[in-house]
Amino acid sequence: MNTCESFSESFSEYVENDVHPEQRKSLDAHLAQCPNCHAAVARLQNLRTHMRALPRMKTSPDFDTLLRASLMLERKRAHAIPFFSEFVRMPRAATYAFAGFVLLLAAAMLIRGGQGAEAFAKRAQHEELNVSSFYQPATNSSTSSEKIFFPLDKIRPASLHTQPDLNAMNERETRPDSVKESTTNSTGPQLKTTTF
Amino acid sequence: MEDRERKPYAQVSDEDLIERFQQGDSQAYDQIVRRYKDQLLNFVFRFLANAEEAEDVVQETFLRVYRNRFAYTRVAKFSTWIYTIAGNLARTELRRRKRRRLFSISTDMGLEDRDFEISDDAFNPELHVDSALQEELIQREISKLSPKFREVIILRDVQELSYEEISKIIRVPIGTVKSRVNRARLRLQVRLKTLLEQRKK
Repeated sequence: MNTCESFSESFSEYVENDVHPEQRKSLDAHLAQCPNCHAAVARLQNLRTHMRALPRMKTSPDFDTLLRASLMLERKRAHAIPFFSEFVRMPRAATYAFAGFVLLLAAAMLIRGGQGAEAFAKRAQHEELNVSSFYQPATNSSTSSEKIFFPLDKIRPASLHTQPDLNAMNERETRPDSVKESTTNSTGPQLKTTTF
Repeated sequence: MEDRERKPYAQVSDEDLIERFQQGDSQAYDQIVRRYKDQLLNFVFRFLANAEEAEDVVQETFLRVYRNRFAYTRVAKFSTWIYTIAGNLARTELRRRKRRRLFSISTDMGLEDRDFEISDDAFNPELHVDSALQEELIQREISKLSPKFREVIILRDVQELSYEEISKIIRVPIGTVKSRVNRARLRLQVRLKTLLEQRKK
């Protein structure tokens, strides 16, 4: 019985004529004396004939129409997102390479972004000190121009000045030679005159 | 005119056709469909034993070929590639169907034919077996095989593909394919004993 089972492992090859000549000899010898195995091999040969004779299926008449409709939808879908359709058309390796590049770029931006923010914060902190030291007197001067404890007239730009001294201007127009005198003599906010 | 245009396509190898299609020739794709639609349907139908589902699977196979045309490289035979796609989709469909059945059994409390496991003895051996019934009997027994045995025996005995190609399609060593085919055949010859011996007479 065991021999029958071990022989049965090569039945397919025997039926398909795909056994070594030596193996074929021993199988032939066994089949000649074992009616069960002989019958099984006969059925196997018959089975192959039956399987081959099974009717061949054909697609339905509307198969092509359905496929064409699906393909049209597919094309529409691809055209709706042209970038992605191009992306899909790329070979797989290129797609992965592109995705990897994008990820790397994103990672680099994140890292650089972090460093940049830190540097910016530092710079801002530093500049804040400078800015306040520069503008603090100006704010004071805007509130009370008389209380000048800082030689602002030398560093303050012209644009920050308030009303120019019209008297001084008139004086300058009429007596251009005495401009220097008038500026030094004039009262009120002295800062204004220095710019003219 | 049409014949003159079609003739070159009919003579072109599958691999050249898909290459032409990759270059944008849609007629090459049409030729691929023409060449493979029936044989793929035959394979999938014998696997699923349902014409409607089989046709859906073949439609999906061609859609996948269209969509993933650039995934094919000449390293493999085109037929191997397309059979692999169809086989994978057919197996997915089978799993989906099983899930559906499980669901329907739990909700309907119904019992299906397969639960009764009708033996061959239930059929009258004296019955005259016409070809349609023969086909039905064989198909029924093929469907009773587990998917891994079913797939190889269909590819080998129905589609008549080489062991080498089958091993590439299902990505299993040739030795395993041969032993699976043998076991599937042995099982079928036992289950279809009556039919196979009747034919002999």
